[in-house]
Amino acid sequence: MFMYEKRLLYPINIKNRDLRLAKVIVTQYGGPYGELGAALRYLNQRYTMPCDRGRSLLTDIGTEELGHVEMICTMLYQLTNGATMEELEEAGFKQHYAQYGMGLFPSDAFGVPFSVANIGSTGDPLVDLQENIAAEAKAQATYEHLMDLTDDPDVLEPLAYLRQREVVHLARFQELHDYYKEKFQSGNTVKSLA
Amino acid sequence: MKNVNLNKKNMNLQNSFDKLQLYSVDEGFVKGNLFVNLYQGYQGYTPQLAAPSNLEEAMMHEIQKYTFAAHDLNLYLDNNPDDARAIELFNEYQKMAKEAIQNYEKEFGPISLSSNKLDTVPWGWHKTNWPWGGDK
Repeated sequence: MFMYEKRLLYPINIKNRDLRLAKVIVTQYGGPYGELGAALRYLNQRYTMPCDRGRSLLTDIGTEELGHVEMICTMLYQLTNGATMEELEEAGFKQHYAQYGMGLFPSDAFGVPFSVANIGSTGDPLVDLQENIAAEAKAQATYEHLMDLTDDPDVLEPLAYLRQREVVHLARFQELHDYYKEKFQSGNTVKSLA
Repeated sequence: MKNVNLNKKNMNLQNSFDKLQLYSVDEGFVKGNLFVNLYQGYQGYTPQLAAPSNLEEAMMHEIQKYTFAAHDLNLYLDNNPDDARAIELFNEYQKMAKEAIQNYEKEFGPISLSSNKLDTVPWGWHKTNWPWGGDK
């Protein structure tokens, strides 16, 4: 089950509004390589992992990703809260405002709503882990792009932290993938690993 | 805008994690990575953490950094369940994290619904700030 701790995983204190930046950072909320997709992908895959290593790693990283969703939403909130009509106008934020007011909404950077349509799930642990390695690499690249798009240190700090988490997750998925690959090569079946 | 370096990828995918070389709790937290051999910087950006501006932020940092250290060891242990040294260290960090949570809650109120600081009127769950800063 899921519990909530009333705190961020990492501090975020953005002092300056920036609606244009919010419009691109939203890709890590509801975009193709974003945190919400990651959370659902891993939490979904964990059921069919063949042993405790897979079950625990997918659960624990999936849970962490929900905390990352919260961080991205915090950034979006702090980047937009209190905006004036002039700021909305200047930042090209009127479409968002028309549909969602100043509410948050999980979409990609083009406004396409979040979709789980392409979250990989095959029930084959080696394939699922390769999907996850790719997902983490894509998320890392996206954070690098976002870091390229701002000079605000208040924003760069949490983006850099989130990028580094992708680096670590990729390494852990790779580690588990290689462990399972070796196990399967030595004649174990998925069933015998449990 | 930063200059874009197209050779930025340096995917150091080591398959063996023999030596457990760890950063300190403080350095690991700022970097977002407890493991020295896994760390990959980006284009000369130096990770930094703004100094806490009040007691609440300072005490929250303590919670965040110890829980982070324990969590990064947690992920390592999921793949390396027989590493006794890592299990010991995980539990040390968890102990520090629990102390940091107790200290914070004593001062500011509950941060989870299993807290024992929810026994006063009015409802304590409303007392503490929400993480995205809605109250400020």
